[in-house]
Amino acid sequence: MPHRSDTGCGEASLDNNMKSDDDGGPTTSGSEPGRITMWAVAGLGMLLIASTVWSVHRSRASQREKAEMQRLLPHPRDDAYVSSNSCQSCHPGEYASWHKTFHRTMTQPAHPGIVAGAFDGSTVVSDGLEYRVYRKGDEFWAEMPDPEEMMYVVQGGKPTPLEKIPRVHRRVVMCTGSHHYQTYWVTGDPKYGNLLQTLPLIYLIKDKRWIPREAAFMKDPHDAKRMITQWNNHCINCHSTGGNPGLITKTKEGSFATEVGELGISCEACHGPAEEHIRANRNPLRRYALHRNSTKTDSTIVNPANLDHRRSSQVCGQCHGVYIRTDPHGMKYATEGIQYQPGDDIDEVRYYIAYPREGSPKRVWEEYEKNPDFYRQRWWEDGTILAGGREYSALSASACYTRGKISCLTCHSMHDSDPVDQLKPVGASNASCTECHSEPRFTARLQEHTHHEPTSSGSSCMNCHMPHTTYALFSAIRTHQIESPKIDSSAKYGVPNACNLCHLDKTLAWTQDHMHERYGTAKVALTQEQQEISAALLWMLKGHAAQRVITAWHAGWEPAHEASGDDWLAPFQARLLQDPYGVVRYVAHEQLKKLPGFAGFQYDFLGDEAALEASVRQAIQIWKMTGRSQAARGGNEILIGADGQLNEAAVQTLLRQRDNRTVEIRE
Amino acid sequence: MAKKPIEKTETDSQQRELVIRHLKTGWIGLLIFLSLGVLLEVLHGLKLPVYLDVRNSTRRLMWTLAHAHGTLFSLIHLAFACSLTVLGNKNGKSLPAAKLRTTSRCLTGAIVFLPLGFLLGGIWIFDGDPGPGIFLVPIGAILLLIGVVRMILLIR
Repeated sequence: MPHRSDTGCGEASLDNNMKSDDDGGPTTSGSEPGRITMWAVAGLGMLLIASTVWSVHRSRASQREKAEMQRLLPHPRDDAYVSSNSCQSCHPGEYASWHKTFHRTMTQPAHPGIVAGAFDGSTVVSDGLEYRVYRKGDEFWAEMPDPEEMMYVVQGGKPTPLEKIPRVHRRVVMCTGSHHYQTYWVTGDPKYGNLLQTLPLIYLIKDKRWIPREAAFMKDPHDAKRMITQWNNHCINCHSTGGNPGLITKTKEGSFATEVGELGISCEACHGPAEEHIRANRNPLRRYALHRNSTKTDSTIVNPANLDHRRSSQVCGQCHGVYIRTDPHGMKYATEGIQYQPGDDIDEVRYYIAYPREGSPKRVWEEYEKNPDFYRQRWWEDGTILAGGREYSALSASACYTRGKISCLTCHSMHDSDPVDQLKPVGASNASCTECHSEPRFTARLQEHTHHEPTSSGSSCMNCHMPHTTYALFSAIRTHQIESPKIDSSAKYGVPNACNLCHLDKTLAWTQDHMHERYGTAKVALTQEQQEISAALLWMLKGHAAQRVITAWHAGWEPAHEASGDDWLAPFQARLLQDPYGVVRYVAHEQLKKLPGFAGFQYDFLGDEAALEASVRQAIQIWKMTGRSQAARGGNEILIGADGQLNEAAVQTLLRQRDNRTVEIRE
Repeated sequence: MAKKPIEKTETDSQQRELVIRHLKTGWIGLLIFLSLGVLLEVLHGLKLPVYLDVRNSTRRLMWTLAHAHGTLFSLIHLAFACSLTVLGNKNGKSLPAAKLRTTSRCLTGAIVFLPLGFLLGGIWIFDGDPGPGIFLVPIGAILLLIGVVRMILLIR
């Protein structure tokens, strides 16, 4: 009988076995293949058992994790909301087009693949306090000052030095944002229910870097007040569907049993709760009766496209507007959730704030008198909107809305549109305007009206009537207050106008002359500077932070380069790299990179003062070295002499006169 | 005691005719519905939105079902023909003519209505709902069920 132990060598032993087989002796060699098969089967069996055990373990771990996340996240509502999953099977196209939007991903559970931030153990300093972000397997964590203690201290309830606040480890359970940047929410103390506290850091997705939260907003750079928020009572309103803060006031401190229809902006945010719709349409006869009659709307659901222009715009306005709740102290909202449903008259539950103008109702003036700062944080001084994300407030102040029939849906859609701006194909062209303004001077003979080539950016309705004079998210955004360029607003209040945001090299006087000549606009008195120096340079060098950020953005805008050239802007844009406001510096750098010679310009907008100053010098040097000064068109209005030399003295004079008023934009 | 009526039986030639008819239906059906399958693959190959776009997923489902059901039903017709051949004279007697004819008609109706219903249902669609052609499907399904049950009774 063959054995393996005598030689201690597998090969020899195998040889013996083979020999025995040949000999045909009374050995087990005849069953050797059977033994191999047996071992193979046993091995496979073991493998199967192991993989089953492993997958069961994984599945249980995954279920435990799911249950844990369910406990930590806002709980799903069990009333009239059904979530987008229920809509998918009957409306696959609509579901798919919505699924591509950034509205859907507005707020999501913090899972791998969703979290954009680098939780790599790095430490970020926010207003002098350290925050360390790290991972434990598939979980995201932060080591940070106790957020509840912080909340009390910041809100003035406890006089503790911030650096003395004990440090804790909190799990990150939810993230907001997925397009430009992402911010995170950590678990609160369980005694407050499912309270979610802010992790005051922001991850810039394009730049792949963390920044402290305060650096992402236009706020007083010297204001040390920390930006502490809780998701449950504030952000839930617009960053989820059918949110109910679920404030429980039984205890002195209060706690939350927060619920949502769904995280992010989903189907029911615009169409209303769909439970009844789904129940009714389980009946195929009902569905086919509705299909037969395409003009008949389904009474169990709201379709914003079928509402009048006011009600349909209100659907978007529930988030994209400036309002106060009519519910006293907002307690109904805090305990029961959002009172508005799509299709309702939103003005019954909210008071939408309008900037007072001549002829405005008394209440509008009264509200303004109560808190003018509130208005300054959201509007330019002429009453056009400044803060991004308030498009409904802007639109509803436009004649196209008050006297016409324009609605958000004229240009935008959550379906079949570009996810970046949610613009329908028609909304990106003049077609949406010419639906109403169909006269030949706005269509076939467009140049008669615009005085620009019909195919040029100067003949785009939006570029003149909806310029980028709104700020949010490190960017200038088109105002939705549809108006004609107003020179008096620029002259009196310094509100950038469409003409000078494209013709960056022209003075306000130049614009006024053209407006007067072409459109008969009344002339207003202009200062010496406004007559002699480019309006854009005045806003950029001498203006306040809002003027600077808007102009800085336009310095990198392609239509402005076409109209004004791009080879003279760098030495002025460079000055903004040292601006007191972080967001101005960030935007200035981003747009500077679009100027010739600056594509790879390295700069950290959060660098120290010396580094910022060095960057300014370096940028000006690059401009000089690369021959821009020779290439640049000279002109007194752009402070560059005929010899291509920069009028540094004039630049310094304007910088010294800079409007250093505090600017805060509540985007 | 009433006399049990004598059930007419299918003659050999009639039964043979029936076999041939179902063989023809089966093979022609296979030709049609396999061709439909090829057509669907072409639509895939050309990535035509009319078939592949997510908003047309109902159409895609309907036409896939038409192809699958049509092919399967063609095989059922062939199986029916084979069954008749195998069964031949059950216990020395021919199979009852009326029952055979009803079964045959049911199966023929099923192969027409059910795949056609899916096919038409996919031409005009309403989001997640197929077009009105889908109402042919339950008719086809009922005919198929009747045919199958009758066949079971025949060979019992």
